[in-house]
Amino acid sequence: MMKLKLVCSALLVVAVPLTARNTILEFKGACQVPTNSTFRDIYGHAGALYGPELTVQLKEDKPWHAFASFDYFRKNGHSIGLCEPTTVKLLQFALGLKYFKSVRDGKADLYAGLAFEPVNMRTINCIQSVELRTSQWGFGGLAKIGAYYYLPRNFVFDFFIDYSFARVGSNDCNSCTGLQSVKANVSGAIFGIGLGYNFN
Amino acid sequence: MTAKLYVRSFASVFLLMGMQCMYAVPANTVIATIPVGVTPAGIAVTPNGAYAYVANNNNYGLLHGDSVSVLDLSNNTLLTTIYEQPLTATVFNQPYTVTINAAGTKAYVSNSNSTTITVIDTASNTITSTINGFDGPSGMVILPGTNTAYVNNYGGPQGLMSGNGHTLSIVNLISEMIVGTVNVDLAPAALAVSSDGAYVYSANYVDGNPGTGTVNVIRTSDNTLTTTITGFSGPFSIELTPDGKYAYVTNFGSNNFVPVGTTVSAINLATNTVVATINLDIQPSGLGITPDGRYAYASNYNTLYAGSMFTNLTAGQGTVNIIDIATNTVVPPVIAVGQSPADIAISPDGRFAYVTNYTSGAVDVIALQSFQISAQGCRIQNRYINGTDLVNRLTWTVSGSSLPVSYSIYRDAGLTNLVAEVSATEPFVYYDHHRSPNVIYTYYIVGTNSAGTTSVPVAVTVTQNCQ
Repeated sequence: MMKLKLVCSALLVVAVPLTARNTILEFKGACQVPTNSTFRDIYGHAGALYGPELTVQLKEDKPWHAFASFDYFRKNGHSIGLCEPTTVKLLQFALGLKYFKSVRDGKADLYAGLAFEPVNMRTINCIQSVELRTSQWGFGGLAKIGAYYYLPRNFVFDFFIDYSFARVGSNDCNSCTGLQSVKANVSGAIFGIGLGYNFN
Repeated sequence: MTAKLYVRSFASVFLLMGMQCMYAVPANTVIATIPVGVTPAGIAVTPNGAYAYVANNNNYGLLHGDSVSVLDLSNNTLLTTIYEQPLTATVFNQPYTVTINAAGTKAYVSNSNSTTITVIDTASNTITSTINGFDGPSGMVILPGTNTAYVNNYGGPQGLMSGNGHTLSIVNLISEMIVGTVNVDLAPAALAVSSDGAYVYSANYVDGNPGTGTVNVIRTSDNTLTTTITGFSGPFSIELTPDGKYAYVTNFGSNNFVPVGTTVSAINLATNTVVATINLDIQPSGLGITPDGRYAYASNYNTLYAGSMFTNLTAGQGTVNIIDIATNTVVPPVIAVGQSPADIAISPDGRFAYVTNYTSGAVDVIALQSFQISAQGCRIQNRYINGTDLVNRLTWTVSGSSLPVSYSIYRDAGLTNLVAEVSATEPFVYYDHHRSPNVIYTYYIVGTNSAGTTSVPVAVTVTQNCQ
């Protein structure tokens, strides 16, 4: 009984400020265009990326917002050289700040943001018909610009362009990959749209 | 002094059991030994490769020892022995060579101690007739596409003394009559004919001393001796390459005085000049050239004697040398065979060589490499997003006959580190993954054909990136 009271109290503490400020939860879909030529040669010039993002205004009537997102990217390709099948999965976590600028009498907000971005990369490299699976971490950053367009009933559209820059793995971890390891450059430009709900 | 292979000794005949090749054996090794008659000398294989005929010279003069052995080459066994008919008659008299016609229907046996050629019907393996009028006949060639043969008269006790002949007899094989004679140098020991039949080459032993032997070139259209090539040392066999560009002559020398011969001469037949003299083992005797013209196999007789009537025979280890015709060099291995290897015949498909061992009384069967592997290697950087797989790619082609059914790929010259087996039904490519940088890899590819003969390893060193 005591535990239930504590949980309810915590929810109230969180919920009351959220409803007083911009709190946007959205689900994004995007096209990620890798900027690294090796990545492009292996996995092609573009791939789908999707995931949720939560943006919370830090203080009422102030332009600064915190945001956290999780994006998932998966693409099949072929190695350079022997054209053997390979699959990459990127799990991109971002935690950062956005700066909002209200336009059109508050019907929209333009924003720009920066984030710290841990990336988990999972690969399945087929070598001689043997699947070599790896999971590696890397760290990078995310820069983004975009616009929220507020719809009736608190729904909101998010149009955004991001640039994710990250390198994953290491140059000296041959045992991790079964290969002569190199850091994977998974950077790319992201063009996307999100549909969310503003809890304000 | 003449030095025909009449080594009069009573050395015992080795009655070795014929052996079947059951497992993979390296090329250029003896895979079977077939016991035949007394002192086998000449050997010939039928055009279909099914049988071989061996002239048992009976140098020891054993009763009924003059004979011809017929070998079944499908299982490397003695099929039958053709003796004199009846046993009291002297149809054979120290048979020395066998020549089989292109149809494979008749075998002509030269009786070196008489004046005759014995004709054998190969279908029934019976003697059908005798051609008379020679003088110690010691060889025969048939002009391709004709019924005309040339027989070298080395000289024999029933005519001129052995080694004192100096003619070739021209024989009509239909009438089985001598129709002409061509004078050549002293002691014609062996004959060869060009593939178009335009020329016959007579290797003349003369006296066996260094530099005294000759090769006469006879134009068959008018039976004129056109050229004499000099400088041989007791020439004993002559064989032409399949393309007709070169002739190879064994310089046997002598087996009753020194120096013995140890070389083979290569003759350019366009210029009729000796273009190479190749050092071999002791007393190169017989010659066989593979159908693809890549290699010549020479048997090294290595047998000396002393005393009168050739009674003190000393036979050393017989060997066969392999000559790479492209380079006129001896290539490994040196093949150990029986004692006093006298003659060599190579099967039409190039898979086997048959060596008569004069004092061993047997025929050794050597598995040959009837195919050639040509291989290349390069390195591929097989790049993934998080690493690079360094891959060595080997590709190869094969030519020849009786091609491999599988290929083994090794990483060491000792052929202990097997990394792959590739079936001949698969593409001829192998990728060796996860190689280390800054290491130069050398691979060895060995092919194995359906007879179980494995090739000489082909080394491939990977030094460059693939294009």
